[in-house]
Amino acid sequence: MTEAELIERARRGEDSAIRALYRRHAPRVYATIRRLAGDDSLAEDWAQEAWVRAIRALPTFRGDSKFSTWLHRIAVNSALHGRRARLRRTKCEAPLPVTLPVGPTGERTLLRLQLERALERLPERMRQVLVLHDVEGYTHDEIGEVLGVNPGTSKSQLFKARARMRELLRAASEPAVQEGVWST
Amino acid sequence: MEHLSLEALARLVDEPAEPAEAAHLEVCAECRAELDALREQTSELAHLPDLEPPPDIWPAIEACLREEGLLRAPRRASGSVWLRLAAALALFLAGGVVGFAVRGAAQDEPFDAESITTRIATAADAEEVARLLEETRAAYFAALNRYAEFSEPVGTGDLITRAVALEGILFTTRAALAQAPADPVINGYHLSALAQHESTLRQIAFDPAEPWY
Repeated sequence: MTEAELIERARRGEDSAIRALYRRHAPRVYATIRRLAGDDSLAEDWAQEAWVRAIRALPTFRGDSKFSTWLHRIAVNSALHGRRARLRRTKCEAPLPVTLPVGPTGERTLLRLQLERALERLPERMRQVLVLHDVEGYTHDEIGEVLGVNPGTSKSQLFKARARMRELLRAASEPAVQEGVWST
Repeated sequence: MEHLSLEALARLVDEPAEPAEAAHLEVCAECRAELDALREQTSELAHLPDLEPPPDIWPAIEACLREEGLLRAPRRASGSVWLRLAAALALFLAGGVVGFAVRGAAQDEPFDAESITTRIATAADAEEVARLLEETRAAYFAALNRYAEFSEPVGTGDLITRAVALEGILFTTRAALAQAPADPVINGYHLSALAQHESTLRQIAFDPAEPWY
């Protein structure tokens, strides 16, 4: 079944079509939201919100862009909106515990785990800009639009974020030297 | 010699160097190495894989959609669903035990239980769940064979691989639990995998040569 047919059937509320759309796009949506969120609990809430918003808005999807692009934009907006809502509700909460990101096994697993870990440790705005630009491929104009900042600010945040990531990755690969654990 | 700042080098990943920066890079191997590392970091970020969502997201989405009338035909699970799940999980467990005992039987297929998880969480009926769990069992079996190949001596790389594999297994058991929260076999297996996962994380965290992050 083509995606257009699936979307049409999902619009009519067909259970199997909505499930099929979810299966097809859930990993992409979740990856984007998880990286913007920086932790699992927030990501779960925001992914749920993104999917409900998307299915609710399906009648407005006219096919002018690809469905994945339309859905991705909803996911990003849900994550950014979710962050603001959470800050209002849980201002004094302690940080959530960090958990192991899941990815495919293989020779690049360790490097990818380190990258995911470093992303979690970036300050929120730096993480948002870095994820949108370097992971998701947004331009600075697009980032400015979704974050409500000018493109110059986006650039500046990106360079700071990359530099901070580099420091975090370097610290991860040279812990004993950095911390003096083994020095005598 | 004053080096270029990391932020300046981060800019050079996308933009051309100013004349003074270019002149410095010509003579400074350290800054060139940092710039190469920043380029590699940026390239890797662009190729990060998608992430399988936890299996309990779908039931929550489904409940919201039904409440709003956006999904038709509520699902009704028959009593046999849980029995079939339990049987499939027993197979899954048996495969794991045998898998640990088999060494050197190389298989190239990567452990990919995560990709099955969403399909389990969104499965329409018991037959589909049972079939998917059987697929997962086979994937788990293959993963354990791979793990056994390099499990001695145990180093941090092995531990991380084990942690990732166990995380995939936990994704699968969580998906099954979302379908059958009271099933004793699934609960037992989930708790066992959880304990192994936590133990592995503790080993990684206490490895002085290679801290967790």
